Amino acid sequence: MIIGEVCKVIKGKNIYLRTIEKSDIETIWEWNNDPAVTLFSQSNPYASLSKEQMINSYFSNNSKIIYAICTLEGELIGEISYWFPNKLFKSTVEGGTVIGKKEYQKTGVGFEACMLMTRVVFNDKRINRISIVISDHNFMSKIPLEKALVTREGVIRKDRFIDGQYYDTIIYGILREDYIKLHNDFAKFI
Amino acid sequence: LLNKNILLRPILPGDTEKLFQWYNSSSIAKYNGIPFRFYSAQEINDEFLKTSRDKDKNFILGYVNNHTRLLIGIIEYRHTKPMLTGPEVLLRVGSIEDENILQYTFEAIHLLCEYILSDLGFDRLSLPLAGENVKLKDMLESIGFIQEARIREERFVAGKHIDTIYWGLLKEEFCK
Repeated sequence: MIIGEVCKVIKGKNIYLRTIEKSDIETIWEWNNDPAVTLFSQSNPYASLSKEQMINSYFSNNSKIIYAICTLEGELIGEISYWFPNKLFKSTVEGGTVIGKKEYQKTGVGFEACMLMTRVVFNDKRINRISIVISDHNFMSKIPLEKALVTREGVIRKDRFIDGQYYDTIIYGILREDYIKLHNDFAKFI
Repeated sequence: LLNKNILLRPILPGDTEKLFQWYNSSSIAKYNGIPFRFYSAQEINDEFLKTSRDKDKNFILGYVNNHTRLLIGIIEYRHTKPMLTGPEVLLRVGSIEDENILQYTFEAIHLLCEYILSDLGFDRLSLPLAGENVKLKDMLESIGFIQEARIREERFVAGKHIDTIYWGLLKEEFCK
């Protein structure tokens, strides 16, 4: 993985993104083992990784780009990443955000991080599309995405089985042309 | 797996020469809505014959014309996330000149649906296909597939952005 890809800090109104360090792993491991966090953040909410497995998955995978999300005071509160969901399609990436510190959930910082990452992807990469794929029960991601008029492209019915229940998967997409059109709206958030 | 026209079977070492030709054909890549690039013989061998592949999560089958015994396409099955209720099925049609290729491809999909939903017991399956194909659309709808999503401009093929249509089939809708 290319952690943060470059070492510069990407600054927003309330947060900044920076490269992930090995010293962050302890905190991220705790989030990854907290069902209240992983219920929304992971494709497999009950998968558990040891710290060593986490270090391997974070530092030896070069297909995923991960940033730490920090408050302006420097506290680590989450992580955001993007990757190529299909290695054949180099113009499309998929993104995901985790706000691990519960007191920062539902405060809009996840969406702000998402907008910062969108800016990086479209301004610095030759990427045409960002996909965001969430489970229907993930209201923490769904509400801000729909508020920001990110295009909902489809619903994959009964796609997930979590905690004894079936859930749909919702696919959203932001194209480069959407980003250019909505640039001023997006800029409000960052 | 077998029906009147089609036999679905694992890829054999003898298939790799044909797969090498298909994967290095820009017209076949375009037909399948896949960006073209060159593949080495080693990559083809690794991709299709590697023994490290976890067969429960990912396997590749060839579909063969039952009359001529010629390989005409491949179907890949992926089920990598345990909480997903069904696999994703990816197609690559090889014999694009064959006038019956669409019918054969449809029959191969039908056979695999039966295997996935009845034998493996999954609740659903997903079939992402590049762009519109009116004939195939009618065929898919006839066995219960529903167009669940249009992933805008997911692919960049031969100088153009192309949408991916995501087809979904639930067990209870299969040949209802």
